[in-house]
Amino acid sequence: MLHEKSVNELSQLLQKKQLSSQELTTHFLNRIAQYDKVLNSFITVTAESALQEAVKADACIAKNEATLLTGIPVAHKDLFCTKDVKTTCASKMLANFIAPYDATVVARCRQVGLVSLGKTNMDEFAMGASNETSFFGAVKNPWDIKAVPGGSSGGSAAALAARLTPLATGSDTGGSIRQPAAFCGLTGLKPTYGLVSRYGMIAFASSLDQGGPMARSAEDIALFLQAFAGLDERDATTSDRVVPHYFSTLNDSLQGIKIGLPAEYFGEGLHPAIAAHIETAIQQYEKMGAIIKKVHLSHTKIAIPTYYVIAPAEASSNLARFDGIRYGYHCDNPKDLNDLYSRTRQEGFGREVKRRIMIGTYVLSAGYYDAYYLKAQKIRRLIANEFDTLLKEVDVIAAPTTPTLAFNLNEKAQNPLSLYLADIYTCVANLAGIPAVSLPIGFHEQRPIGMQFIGPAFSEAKLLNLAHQYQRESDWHIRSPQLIES
Amino acid sequence: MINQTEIQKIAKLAKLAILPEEVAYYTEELTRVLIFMQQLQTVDTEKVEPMAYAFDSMQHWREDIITETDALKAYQALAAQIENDLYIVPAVI
Repeated sequence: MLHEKSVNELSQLLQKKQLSSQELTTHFLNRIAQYDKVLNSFITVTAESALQEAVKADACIAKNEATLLTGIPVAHKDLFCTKDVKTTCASKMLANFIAPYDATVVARCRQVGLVSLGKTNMDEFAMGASNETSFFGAVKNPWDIKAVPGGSSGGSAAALAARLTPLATGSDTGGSIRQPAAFCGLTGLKPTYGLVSRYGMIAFASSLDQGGPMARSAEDIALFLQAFAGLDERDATTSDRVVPHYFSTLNDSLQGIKIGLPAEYFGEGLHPAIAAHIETAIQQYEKMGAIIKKVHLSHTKIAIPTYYVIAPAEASSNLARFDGIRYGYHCDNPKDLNDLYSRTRQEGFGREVKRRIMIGTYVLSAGYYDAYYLKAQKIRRLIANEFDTLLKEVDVIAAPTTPTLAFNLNEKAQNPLSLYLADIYTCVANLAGIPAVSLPIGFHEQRPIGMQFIGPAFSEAKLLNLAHQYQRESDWHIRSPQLIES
Repeated sequence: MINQTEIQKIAKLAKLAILPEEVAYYTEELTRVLIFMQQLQTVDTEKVEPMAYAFDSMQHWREDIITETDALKAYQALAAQIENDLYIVPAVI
């Protein structure tokens, strides 16, 4: 079936003209119509423009002017601005916002000929780990519709897992690519801070946010990341390092690679099935020649409170732009400017967003700034330094992606703090600015399990190499869930 | 840890109207989170430089030439109320 093929396989079929992009795009649009009413993974499906893009892609292929990705469908997380298409951030605040320009990630995907199927659902303003806070309703996990897909890139993850799209963009501020990838049996990469442009990516926490690729396999990700990584003149925080060719090093030998296993990550709080599957996966890596070394990360426990000071603080600043004046929702009949601001924001934002804005405002306010925000920034330095030192002793660190399997819908909705604790293994990479990949390594009670590799800055090629070599010897990443028709 | 008066003050700073029935909710929620954050005080950070973002040196320079087109009309089409290229807002007072 077309939706079971890898991006490389689809590319070959398109290049050889054994398949047209119009046929391929129609196939995925039909699957969205067939299955997405149950899953709710898309906020906007752009069927008409997708088919127009597919026609253009086919014309490029006919003239031999195509790239490897020309004609392949993609879905974009709904925080990437897409010109003339709604970009909502899954919020009432932007429910009818039509972006006047493309984000750099979107523009670069267009340039290589990827065909956009639409915008995927997410936690509101990327704040969440379950995709339950969306103004447009929760997303269901295709593996078990009683379960969450994870978040905040839950829509992208669910669409990929259900094979409604072969590629999807996500964003990762504290784990929002990797955690839904783990919950949905996918591969997801948080790039190094500065590898991927944030221009046109609606901001949550500017020092932590990174857009990134989500797909079925490391091979698909290698092809996809190539399309949009690299310096952007419009984003001053992007790096001018030369982007390596990720696909060509996927099959490099792992002989002698040193993998660190932090003792602090494998104790209380980690689901035993996840620990057991990681142990089995690590044995597989040893057979491939890797050297496993027990290491320590003493700042593990403090990472969550550090993250949950810094991220809300930055969010409170970034979301100050939503004032009802220049774009987005505005309240009716404001009596004065202050009423416009306050009621617009009270009515336009959901509960979790308001909670984080309040926390962020508090930790930045006079009298508390030093004790919370400045303190957290110093601890962030300690965490980053610890990773920097450790990643000189070992090449990568292996870790669980999540402490639990995908939990049920509504299970944690009434206790936000319990959701925050779920970021324990993922937020550290964002704090340190370093890359990490999550890959599927098995199932427990029919719910997927993921593990992570965290590497030094700009080591995406090595991380994808590690994931790919495992995926050559396993089939977790190509299994598909049984879906329920709409 | 945080009382209802402080919640009102934070809401005012954040330009967020809090409904009377929500004050108790936000007080309880923020108290719980702030108690959790107290752990930060257990870490010795003397002489540690704060870290605002990854990779301290990233500033690029470019030529001082215009690269963006005038998109005023496109941007202002998104606004609630425009007059003579100006954004119209309610009175401050």
